Amino acid sequence: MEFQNWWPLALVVLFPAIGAVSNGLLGLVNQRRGKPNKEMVVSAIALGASFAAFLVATWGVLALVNAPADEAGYRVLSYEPYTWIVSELIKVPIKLVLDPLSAVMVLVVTGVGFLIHVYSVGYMHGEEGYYRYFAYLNLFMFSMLILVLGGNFLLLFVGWEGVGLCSYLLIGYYFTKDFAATAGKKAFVVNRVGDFGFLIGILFVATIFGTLDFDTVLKSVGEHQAALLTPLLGSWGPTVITVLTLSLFVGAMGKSAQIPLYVWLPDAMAGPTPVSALIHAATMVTAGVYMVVRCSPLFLLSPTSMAVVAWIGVLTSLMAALIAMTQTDIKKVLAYSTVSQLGYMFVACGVGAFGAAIFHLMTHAFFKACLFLGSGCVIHAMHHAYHHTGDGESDPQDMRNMGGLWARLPWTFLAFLLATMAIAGLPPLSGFFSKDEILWKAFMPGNEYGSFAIWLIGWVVAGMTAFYMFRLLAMTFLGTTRVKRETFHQVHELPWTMLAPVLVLAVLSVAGGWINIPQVLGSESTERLHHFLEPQFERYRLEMGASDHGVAELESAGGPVGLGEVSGDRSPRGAGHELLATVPAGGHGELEVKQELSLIWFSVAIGVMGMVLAGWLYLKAPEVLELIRSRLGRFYDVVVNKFYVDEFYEATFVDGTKKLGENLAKFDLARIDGLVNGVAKATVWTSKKSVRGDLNFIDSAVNGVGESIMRAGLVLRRIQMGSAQGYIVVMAAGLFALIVVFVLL
Amino acid sequence: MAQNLIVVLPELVLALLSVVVLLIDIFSESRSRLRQTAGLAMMAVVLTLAVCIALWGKNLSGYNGIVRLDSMGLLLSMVCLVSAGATILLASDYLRQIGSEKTEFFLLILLSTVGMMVMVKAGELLTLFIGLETLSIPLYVLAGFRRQEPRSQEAALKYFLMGAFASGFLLYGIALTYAATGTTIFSELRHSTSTEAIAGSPILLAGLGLMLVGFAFKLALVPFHMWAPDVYEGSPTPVTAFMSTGVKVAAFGALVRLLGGGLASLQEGWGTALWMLAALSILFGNILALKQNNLKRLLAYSSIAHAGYILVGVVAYHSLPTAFGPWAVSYYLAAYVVMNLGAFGVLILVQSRPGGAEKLEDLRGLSQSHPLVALCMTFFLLSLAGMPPFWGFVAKFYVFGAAIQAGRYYLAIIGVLGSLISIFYYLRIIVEMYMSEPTEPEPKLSSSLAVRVTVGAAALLTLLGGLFSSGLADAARDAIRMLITP
Amino acid sequence: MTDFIFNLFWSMVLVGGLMTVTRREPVHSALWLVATLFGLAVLYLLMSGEFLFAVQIFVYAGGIMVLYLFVIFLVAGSKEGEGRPEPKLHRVLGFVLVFLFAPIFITLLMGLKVASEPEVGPPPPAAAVAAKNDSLPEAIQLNPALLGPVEASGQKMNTLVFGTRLFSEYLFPFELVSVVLLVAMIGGIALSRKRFTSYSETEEAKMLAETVYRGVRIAPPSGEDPEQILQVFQQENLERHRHPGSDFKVFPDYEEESNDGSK
Repeated sequence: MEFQNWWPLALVVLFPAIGAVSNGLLGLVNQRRGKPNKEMVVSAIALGASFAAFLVATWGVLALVNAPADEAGYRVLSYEPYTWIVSELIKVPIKLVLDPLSAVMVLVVTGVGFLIHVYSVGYMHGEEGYYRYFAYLNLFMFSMLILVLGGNFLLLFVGWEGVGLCSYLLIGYYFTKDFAATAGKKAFVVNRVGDFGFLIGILFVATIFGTLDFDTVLKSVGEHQAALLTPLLGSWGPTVITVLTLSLFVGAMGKSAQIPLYVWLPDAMAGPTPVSALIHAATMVTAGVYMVVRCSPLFLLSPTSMAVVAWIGVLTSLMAALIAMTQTDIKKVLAYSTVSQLGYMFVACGVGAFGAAIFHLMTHAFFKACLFLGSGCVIHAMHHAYHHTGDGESDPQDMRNMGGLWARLPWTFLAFLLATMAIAGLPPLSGFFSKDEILWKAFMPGNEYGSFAIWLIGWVVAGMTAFYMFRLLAMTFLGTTRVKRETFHQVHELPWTMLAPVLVLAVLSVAGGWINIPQVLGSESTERLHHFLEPQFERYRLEMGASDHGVAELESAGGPVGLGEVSGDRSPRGAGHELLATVPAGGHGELEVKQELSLIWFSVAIGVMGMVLAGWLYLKAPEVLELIRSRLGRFYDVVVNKFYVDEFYEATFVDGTKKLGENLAKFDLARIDGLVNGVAKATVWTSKKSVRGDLNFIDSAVNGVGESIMRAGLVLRRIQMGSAQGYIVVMAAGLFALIVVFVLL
Repeated sequence: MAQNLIVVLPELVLALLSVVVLLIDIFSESRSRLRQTAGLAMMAVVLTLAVCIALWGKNLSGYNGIVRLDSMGLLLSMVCLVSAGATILLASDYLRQIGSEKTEFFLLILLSTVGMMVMVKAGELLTLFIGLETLSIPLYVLAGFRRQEPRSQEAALKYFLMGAFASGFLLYGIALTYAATGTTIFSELRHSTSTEAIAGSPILLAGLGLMLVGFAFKLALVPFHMWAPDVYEGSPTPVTAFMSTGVKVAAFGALVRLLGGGLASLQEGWGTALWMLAALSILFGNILALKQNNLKRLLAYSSIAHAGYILVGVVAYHSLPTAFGPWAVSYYLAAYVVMNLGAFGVLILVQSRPGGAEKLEDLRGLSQSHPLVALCMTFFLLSLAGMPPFWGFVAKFYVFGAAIQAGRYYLAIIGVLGSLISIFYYLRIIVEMYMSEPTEPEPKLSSSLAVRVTVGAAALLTLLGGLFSSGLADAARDAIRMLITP
Repeated sequence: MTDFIFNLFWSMVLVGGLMTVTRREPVHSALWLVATLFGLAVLYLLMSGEFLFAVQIFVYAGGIMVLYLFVIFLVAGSKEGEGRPEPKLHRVLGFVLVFLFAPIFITLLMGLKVASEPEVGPPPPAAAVAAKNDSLPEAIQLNPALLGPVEASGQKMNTLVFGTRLFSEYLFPFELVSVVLLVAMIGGIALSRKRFTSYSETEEAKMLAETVYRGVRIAPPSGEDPEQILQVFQQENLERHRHPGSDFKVFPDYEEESNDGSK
């Protein structure tokens, strides 16, 4: 398949870059001149850049749809301006690739990104460092686009580090506040652990495949699969692939906040709310999911890795949902909800439903961005109200101080309601379709990666999601208000520049799922997204099929290839692709249809149950709530305190590292500080001996310092001389060690 | 005859020009003698660079193989010259600030550079040693150039003591090697060590070990690093910049020639010893840097770690025909020199303001008072940390790639781990610059054009080197392809 | 007889070395070092290295050691270096290392006997020298007549071979040594030359003023007028007389002046 050269692809990436640079420079120039920045200019540049990127991206996707396809229906556009790195080992070009997978991502990133830019104009109005914010935001868009458009692992990594840096900068945006700086640091540290895994994974890929190009690597997974698994690496083959994929997954865990590296995401809420919406909900945190989907042929080679991905995902979603049910900070609830939903996406990956993962990623981007922006509206409104009433005490993010706000913020409430229903999985909103697909694929008989246990937990989490989201809705917007009367009247709906993006996102969270209505429910135009993505996954499967007769035989023997038949295929490769590939309408067996339909009823039922329960407990029967809390006792405390994971990390890793660092620093510094003083005195002494004419100077020095200090200085000087000897002793010991190495090895 | 002279032409030109500069300096009556001499020295550097460029592509051997003019030698010579030029630019203003306006500074830098250039072209052990001494003696003096500053004197003393010790090790090693093989010329060494009897002789191994210790000292590899933080901290900042770049280039150039050219057949032995030194340097250098508050000390530890990364490339000298290892080394050295000089340049700028010092806190809020300087520093630090898309990232990529190609995966993994640790302390500086309020309202930095231009050029190069690395890489690799054909 | 002399002098080298590093009094150390160097010189002679023997005596024992002693005498009188307790740890570690290194060196010496015989020993035969000479570029080839005696009396002409090789094969490193010497000279001047460019130190300003008055041309600090410096100095001096004790600071003016901030 020839890659279509389509140069405007560079524009998608360049527009945000230009926006970032020009905003940054403008800010610098103005700062030097001592002039304030005009917010109009800054936002025009930033919005223009992101909107231009969105337009070009849309153009690109349209061009992609109309591009000539290969026999498998695979279409791709690419742009390769020049070769970036050349070495004996590897050649890495700068290569942007727009294939169906990155097309979905690019649209989400630029589309949601643009809306959040619009929202930010109002939200950040009057903040200090306005230009800085927008420069960072555009820089983030740039990095994220590099991440999703990058045609090889190294460019993905460039984007990966770039978004990490921007995330860090934006979390710490309010750096004068301590918690923001700490949160930024935490995000950074945790992500380093992930990056370590990711880099090791990339090194593995480079070593095994001799290239970092996605297409080449994934194709050779098919071509050399047998070789990879047996002769080339011997009996270690499967293990190597497992280690490789798990290393990559560690990177995904860090970026996408999965157990045990999820701790940074809730803290990252210290950043401005639009940032939380864009980076920590809609786009950056999904980079891990994107990467796993991108490398899906590799993951499919290792059943162990697939199981790990699925179980980490499902456990994360359970744990985060549990915590989310107890939090009172509106943004914290949403943050844990994000962690939980990301877990869902990994469940989809782990059970081989990569298309479903991308689908959920997309719908999640819509409704979670909407929720965050909505919460931003609430916080903004509350903040202003408190500000007007001179209340500096109350926390504008604490839901216990809210309630009944629907009357004051009707539009926000409407958007929030729709997005909540979407995330809770009520039909026919977007979340319903994507979540159900994941659950169905997890449950689906014949899917060797799925299991009943995963489905069960996922199903329970769906109920919990509905519960905590409606709890949030109830505590914030419904019931009688807990806001002080005078404050309550100061709460005002926000300007349309901020409401419009929220409402657009609300519409998207309602309608976003309709592009992928499951077949069992559908009519003519079902599963469009899957049809669009299918060739992407098909491409590498075909390559495999061609080289592996086993699959072909199985397929021919198994009669009509349907979802139900995959179970016969014991090799790890077929199943996932069968799941991804949308089978012809006739492929559904009777039984599957029934099962799938009943599962849909199950999920809707638990969603409604969670919703009703939350409404009842928080609006009608708070006393029951109290009763439950007291009954749960200890367990409730543990959950409220987020399972004490932060404390555990603090006590083990953080303190451990600190101690190690301190001890090492002691080793380094203990001698040094004394030295300097010692030498000062030594200098006085030497100058006394050697400098002829400086008697006045020396005298005054000696008198001024005084005899006692001189004595102290001498003692210190001894230490200093000793240290030089000490260095030599250490050197000699090093030499000895070297000789030992020579002799022994 | 003519060939002999061509082979040493760059050194010859630089040495002669230094003498010319010296004479002009002595008889000068100019009021701004410091600036005049700096300018002359700069011209000498540029002329020598031009000579190097003119000689590019030649592959000659002079004085019976004692000196080699090949692409690696020229490339590293040019890197040394860049380092010297940048040091001169950085120093002229600095010297006035510290009130030590001695024009000898520039002469010593020039002559030290002669030593470096000899080292990277040496094809023989004695020449290597004398090159090393030519390089070191000026540095002992330069380290103590802030005479009124006790720490500078301490640095000079310590550097001298340790340097003498290391020279002793190196010389002893050379003597033993000569005793075992009867030659000091690399090509003959290579020939004679190919026989089993000599390659296995304990004398030769001892000689090799002692030479490695000498190099390890000069390169400040753990556990021979302890002098480095003290010396780097105490020396005048431009000298520290010169020491942490030029010396490393020279020593690594010589090491690659010696090990790859002369003692390639002993690869088993030095490979093992060096990978341990590399691993120790990477881990300890980075961990010890974490707690530093003095920027010069921090950069000292960082340079220890970087020496470790470069050593990974030397260790990867596994597959000689492809010469990928030494190529990665040269490439890394070039990148490292640029970004490290840039970082020190910013440090000099910061030190130039009244009361400005070298503590981490002194950078507080730099992004607000001097956004461009802060931006440049961010480039350097991110590049040193190996963050894409900066030059340092590409350089690390090559070095670790070379390690993998040589089958030393563990070194690549240690290297990755080390660079991840390093991000913390580099980021601490960035945080201090961007995320804290300045302590004083408007700290004024020196407006020296030379320093600013140097820093700006280094920042630009750090970025462009990363973005368009393959162009640079192609040139460098063609260069190294012809490397070491003794 | 030769054996006896050899044994005598290597013992002398060994004992001298040990004494050098263990003496507390610097003068004693230096004198023991003389003994060591002398012993080495004799060992060279025994190995028919007459030239090295002479150089060793002239340069080391004669030149360098005298310089050492001068310096020691100049600095002597201070009790600073005496009775300085060495850190215990270092001493212990030092001893441990000595015992660790001992077997290694013994092994080495054993190895030397086997390995070195074919390599070291007589200087290369004259034919080889001649061949080498032929391979050299014409301009630096030696007169073959000079090489004659080597052929005739073999080992005896060690000095000639030494010189021949030094000035032909090893010409480049030899010439390079001149750069080292130049560097040492410049470095020495840089270190010892008075810093006269700043008037912040009153004494130095005074010296500067004096030199200016005496009419000796020394480049004034850039941008400063000597007359003005003198005035400033005189003013300062006056003030000092007015307020005795006002300069009771260790480095009176550095604190304002040295911007590189070592505080």
